[in-house]
Amino acid sequence: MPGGLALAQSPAKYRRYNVTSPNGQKALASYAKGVQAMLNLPADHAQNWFRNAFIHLMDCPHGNWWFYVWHRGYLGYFEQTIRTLSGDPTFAMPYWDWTQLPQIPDSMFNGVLTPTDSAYTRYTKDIGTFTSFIQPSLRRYWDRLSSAQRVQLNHRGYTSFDAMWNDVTGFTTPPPHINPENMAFAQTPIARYLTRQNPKLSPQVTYNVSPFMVYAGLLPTDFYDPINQISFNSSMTKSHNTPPSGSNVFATLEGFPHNSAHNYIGGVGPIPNGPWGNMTNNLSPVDPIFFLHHSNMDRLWDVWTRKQQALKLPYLPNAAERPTYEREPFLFYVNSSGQQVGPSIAREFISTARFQYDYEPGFGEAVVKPSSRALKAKHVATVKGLMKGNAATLTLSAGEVNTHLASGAPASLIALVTLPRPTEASPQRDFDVLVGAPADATDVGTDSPYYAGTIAFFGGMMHMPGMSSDATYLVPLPQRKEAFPNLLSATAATKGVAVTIRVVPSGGGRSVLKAATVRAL
Amino acid sequence: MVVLASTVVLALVALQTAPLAPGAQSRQVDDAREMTLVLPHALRKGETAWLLVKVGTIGRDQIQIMTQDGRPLGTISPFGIRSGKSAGTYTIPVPEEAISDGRLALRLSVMQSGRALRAPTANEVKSVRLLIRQFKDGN
Repeated sequence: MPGGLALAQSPAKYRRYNVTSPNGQKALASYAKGVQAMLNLPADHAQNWFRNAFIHLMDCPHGNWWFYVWHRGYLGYFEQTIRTLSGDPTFAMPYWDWTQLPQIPDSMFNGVLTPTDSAYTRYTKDIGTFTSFIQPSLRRYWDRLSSAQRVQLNHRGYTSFDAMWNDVTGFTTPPPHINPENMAFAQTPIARYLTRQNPKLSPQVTYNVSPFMVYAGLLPTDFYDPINQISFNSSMTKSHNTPPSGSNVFATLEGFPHNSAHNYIGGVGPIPNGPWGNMTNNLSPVDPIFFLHHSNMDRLWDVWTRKQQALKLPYLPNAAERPTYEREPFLFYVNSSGQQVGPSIAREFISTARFQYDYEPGFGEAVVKPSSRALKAKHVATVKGLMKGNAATLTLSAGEVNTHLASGAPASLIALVTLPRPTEASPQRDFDVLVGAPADATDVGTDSPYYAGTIAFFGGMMHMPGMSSDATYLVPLPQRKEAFPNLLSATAATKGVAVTIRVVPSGGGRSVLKAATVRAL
Repeated sequence: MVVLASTVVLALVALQTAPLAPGAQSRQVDDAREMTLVLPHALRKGETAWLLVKVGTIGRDQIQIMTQDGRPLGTISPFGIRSGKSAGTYTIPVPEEAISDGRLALRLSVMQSGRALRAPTANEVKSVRLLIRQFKDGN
């Protein structure tokens, strides 16, 4: 149990059921009572239905590695609130398994379980009504925020109350106008695009939540791996409040099932230009389907974690990165008593034991199976190239080279090569990576033993502010002995195997390589 | 690419990268950008091909990714992106059946609400990369 984290005990005190099961339907009845109770609370109450949604608008992470853990905390406290306000001490949030059922469960169109219900009209009839209801209390809440909370909001770009409120109304400058893309508020009649008569996800979204996509999303064996990029989690960022931008890599489950279900339920796709329903933006918790959707996302994190445990693989960040992950402050949660949760950190929400629940098995459970071959982590050896005349020379161990060249084995020596991005005016966009090639070779074919791959730039070459003028790519070294001419030398075993890497324009030319390292995986 | 870590789990991963093949392999047709990516080798047992699609500023538009013979590979639908910001990079698994003769023939289109599909501009889809990963003791 790494770091002494308490893992969930089986059986857990509470079980989150598939919403389509009898127990799930029973939980849904309690959920509806709880939602109604939260709608009835005054706007000044931290557990008011809309105030609860503002926690998400002000603090939710997307496109970064705190996505799962933050939503686990948010969902956990919300579940406790529903347990309290519904009067059902056994309540646990059911999940919507969209892989098995790619349409909104029929019960979620009943009464307050849809944000288009008349019970919402008195609050969300129009933006004026909503503003009159929520803004005064929200402003008072804002004025009482701690300096630590304000730091978090600054990361988000919410440097003032008005800056935050602009994301509610869609107000944008310059010039002053309402941008529906940026409008988190949704009027009651359009608060959810899908209806009881039209409950199905589109074919595109159905593919995004399909068995293939979900299994693939569960496949990565790294919690986070910036080198190889196919991780279970999205990118590491400075703060969980750092908005996604061009540098963020969305992991498969967040990027596809999560995102597309959110957007389609609100009408992105079928409805031109917006405004769209609640689920398309950061006031998405106004739609009660939000919590069933995120219960399923949380379930899949739990499935992945148990798969990793069964395979004796790490299910947390590596030792160097873990403190950064665990110490991230989450400062906006509200507990079941309606009190602000004191300063909390991500570490508290890694385990489902924190909220004493587990899941009724759903889609994806089949990946949880014991390993026949426990794998061990070890250090990655990295060799930095000595640059001379745009060529890098590296010395690799003979053992690593032989492992790399072993018949039928996947490539284990991976080069990271850095070269300058072509300029807008440059006609040359393709570059060949040559390994161990004779010094006078400037052009080789793809069948050459020295050919490692082609780096091709496409699209506009305009350099944006903040964009590096260099680009780095991963390229496996060729699995051909000719690329390692020194391997058979008498000193290879003791002094290593020298290898030269160059990057030349496809079709011939001088090397443009700026730096190279090689990793032995 | 930003290198943030000095260690990774070993013996789990075999990664190969196949950038766009040299030559004019990417072209714009009426409603899509078409491109052909060449795998560095045929997929071996346990390997999966992935696309890394880097998306620029597309607001609430979506990027549909299919093979040129019409097989869906996924639809990028940005969520949680602030207005005016790039949408990020998306990791898309590629079914083995979508690969033919060591090549993946792609069609990328922009889906705009209420409008016909169109080809993405270079600022809307900034790059497409193909990776091969092997999770040796995974699923």
